[in-house]
Amino acid sequence: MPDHADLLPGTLDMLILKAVSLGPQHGYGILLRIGQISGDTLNIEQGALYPALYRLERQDLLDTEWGVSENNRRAKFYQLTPAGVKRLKEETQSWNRTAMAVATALSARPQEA
Amino acid sequence: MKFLSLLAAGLFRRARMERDMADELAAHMAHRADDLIRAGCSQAEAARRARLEFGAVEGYKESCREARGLAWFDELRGNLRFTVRSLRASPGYTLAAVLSLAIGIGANLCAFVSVNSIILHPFPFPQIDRIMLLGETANKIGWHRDPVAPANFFDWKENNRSFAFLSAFRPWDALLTGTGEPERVIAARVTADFFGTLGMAPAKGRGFFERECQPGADNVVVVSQAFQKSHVVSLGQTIALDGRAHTVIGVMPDEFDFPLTTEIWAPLAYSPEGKARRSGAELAVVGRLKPDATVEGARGEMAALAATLARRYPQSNDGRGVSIESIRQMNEVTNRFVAILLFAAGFVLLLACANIGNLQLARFTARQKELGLRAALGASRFRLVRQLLTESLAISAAGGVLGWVAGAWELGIMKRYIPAEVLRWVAGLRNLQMDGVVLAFGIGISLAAGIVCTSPSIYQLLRRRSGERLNESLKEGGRGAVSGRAGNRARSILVATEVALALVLMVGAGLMVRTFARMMAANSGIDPKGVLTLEVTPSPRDGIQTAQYYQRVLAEMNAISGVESAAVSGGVEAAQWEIEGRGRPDAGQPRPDRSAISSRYLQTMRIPMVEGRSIGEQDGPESTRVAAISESLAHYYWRGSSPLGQRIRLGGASSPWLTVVGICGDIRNWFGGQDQPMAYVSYRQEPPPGVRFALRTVRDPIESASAARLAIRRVDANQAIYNVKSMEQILAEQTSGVRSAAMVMSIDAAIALLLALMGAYSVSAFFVAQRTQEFGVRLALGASPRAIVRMVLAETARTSAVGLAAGIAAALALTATMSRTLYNVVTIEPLTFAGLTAMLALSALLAAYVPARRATRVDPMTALRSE
Repeated sequence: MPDHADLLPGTLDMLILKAVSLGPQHGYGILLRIGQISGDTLNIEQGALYPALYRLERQDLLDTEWGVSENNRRAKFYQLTPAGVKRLKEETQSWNRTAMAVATALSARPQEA
Repeated sequence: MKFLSLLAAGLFRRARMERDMADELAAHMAHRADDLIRAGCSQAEAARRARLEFGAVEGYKESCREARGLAWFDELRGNLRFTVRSLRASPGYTLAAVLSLAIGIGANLCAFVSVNSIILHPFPFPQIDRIMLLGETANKIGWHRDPVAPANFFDWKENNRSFAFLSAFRPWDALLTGTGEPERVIAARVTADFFGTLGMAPAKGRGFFERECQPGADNVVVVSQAFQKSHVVSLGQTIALDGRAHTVIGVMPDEFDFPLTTEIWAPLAYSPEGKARRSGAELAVVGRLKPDATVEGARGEMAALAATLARRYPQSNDGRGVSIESIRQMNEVTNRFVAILLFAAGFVLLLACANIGNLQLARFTARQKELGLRAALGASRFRLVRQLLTESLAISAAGGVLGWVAGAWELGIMKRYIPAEVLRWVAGLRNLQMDGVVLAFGIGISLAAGIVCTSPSIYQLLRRRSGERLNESLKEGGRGAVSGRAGNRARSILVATEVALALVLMVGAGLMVRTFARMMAANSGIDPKGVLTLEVTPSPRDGIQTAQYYQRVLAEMNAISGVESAAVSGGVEAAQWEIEGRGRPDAGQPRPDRSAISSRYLQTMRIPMVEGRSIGEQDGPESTRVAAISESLAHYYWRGSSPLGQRIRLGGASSPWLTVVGICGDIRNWFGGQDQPMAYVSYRQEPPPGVRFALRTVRDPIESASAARLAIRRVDANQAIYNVKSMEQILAEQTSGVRSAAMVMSIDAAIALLLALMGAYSVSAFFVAQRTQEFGVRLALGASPRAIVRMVLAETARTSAVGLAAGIAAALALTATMSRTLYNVVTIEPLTFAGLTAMLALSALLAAYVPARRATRVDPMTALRSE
């Protein structure tokens, strides 16, 4: 699968926050949403999502609540806390800056001295 | 707090969280399966694929627990459960380890109790490190801690900027009358801010006002709580001291004991003339540094102040400086003993740790397979380290608890052997107890011991390539690769260390014992057997009356049946001395102590006459002033010639010249055994204000005590008598510190020897067990049992030799340090040194011999089949 990319370290948290920012969602839903918004190009092992979710919950970036899913199953829903909202904003800005800088650097052409 | 709440969360919420987590992951897979079914999978196939896609459920659960911060809790619980199981499986090891740690920790706690109360908290004063003792120094004779003249003190007080408080006090031997038998009370005259300087206040009543420090207004006293209890006095009551009524205005709290053993404090009152006096130094000075002042700064300031005074009053103050020392330094000599005992105890604990480290290494080797299996199942090396650490800490915690019990028990015994007199005179000694600080110390050393014990094993585990070795161990038949050369080397190093430590301790104990023995055996120059002593400080009279009073008491005493001879002596320290025509001797040259004695004193003490005559009854106030000097003094200053007929002066220019009429034997300092130069004068020519009567009796001296008291009372019914003791009792009290130090160190050394032997034995036993097969082959091939024994012993001998070499070097250094620190002259003779070394070496070989014998009894066939 040449068009599939491995996740950079640290980006999973950002993607989770982004996915949850679009509305409260349970774990499987978050995974689907990440797939959706990333155009199904990222490889994420399903189980790997949960340690990340637990970590974000412990950092008080996510809130949880048990509820009923669209499939009529009991599921744990995650939503952003105010701290989570703030963190997402910061991470997005920082990511954009880095991405821009890297892109600029990579597009540089040799110059005549 | 955070730890506790986490623990509570762990305990109470853990179960629910586990359930939640399982539900959540199951819901995920159910949702995935729903999608797969919708995509056309069969139900069973969907469930299977959902689980497969999810990945390793248990692994992710573990990561989730870790992410949530509960992993450590689970691991700890697991480790503890495992520890209990594994220790229960080897009760022998557990018992040996816990007991040796308990002994080591107990010894340390006991030693630390002394450090805590004698060195760290000799007095209960707040911010004790700010409190300084000040004294005058005489630069010319290199003398420290001289008392201070009143005018100098008041100048210091007014002109210094380093001290928040500066107060003075002087001892006062008060005669208490009107409360039954007349009694001598240890009292002190103190300035008004004395209690404030020390940061203490009376528990009841009040302290002194400035206006009470005036002659006439100074008839108020503050008493100690002990005095209040024993004499049943209440505030406002008057008591008669030195024949004058004093009103009790305050009671100090029980823990206040400064100057040591003081029962009554009264204002220090000076007339204007007295205040201006620069001679007659009599004050001790104590000050509290300002919060921003340093000791160094204070020393600089006071030195400048002293220099100014020396310029202004050259006659009295020339060459006078100021010494400033922390009040903690008061116990200097005791402090050194106490510190040495703590070091000794530390060595014992180190030895115990080395021993347990050794046992753990052996266990570690035996557990290669188990550890290898756990590593193969995914336990990281650090996880294994944590497991080893948990086991070791469990042992050290148990050792700590038992050690606390052992320490308390040891302390109880120690306290019982401290003579009451010593208890009173060493600051902090009566407060020996296991308090919070000691508890903290105990917990600290228990933890440290646990970590130290297991560090050799951890080192082995973390060594490079040990991961591979752990794997190897699974393949091998239980004999892991780590049990090879590296493990043996580590064990040998540990045993060598133990031997070295044991030797140092034994030499240290030997030093103490010999010091004590020398003190006891030292010919102190007097014969203490059969001598009774009593002290009196008669109420002030003029010199002639005082002398007559002593004379009459002596007459009464000589008449007591069973008394061979009675004598009186009173010492006064002479700050200066000179020989006629030679000028003042330089600093560092011997200076005699002065003692005023009666005619039969030397005879009573059995101090021999070398030349000339003793002081006689004929040497009265009207006749020529005479002195008898001790042999070492005569020898030092007169070499070949005779001092008889020469004149000496004890004291300053106003003191009279004394004609030397005799040379007598030397008395020796009880502590170091050095000669103490003496000059004896006649008590009738220079009557001392306080004296000690000495009676040589034919029976047990204590039996004559009541008759001697009566003799004194017959002359003056109001005379207080104190320190009624036999001379031997006094010597025992003086040497009790060294005796208990010698005892404690001997016990430490014995424990050390035992531990070292245990170490030698266990390593030798391990060595033999490991090579059973090899020995079997050798025996089968015709090696003689003796050759096998030789092999095993050679191994031990090599190890011990290394340990002994290191130990001898360390012990030599220790001997030098101890001799220096304790001011004693005992050095350990090469023979003793060699003896202790040989004893240790032989015992180690003996300990190794038992397993060596076992090696020879190996049946070759069994050994070969044992694989």
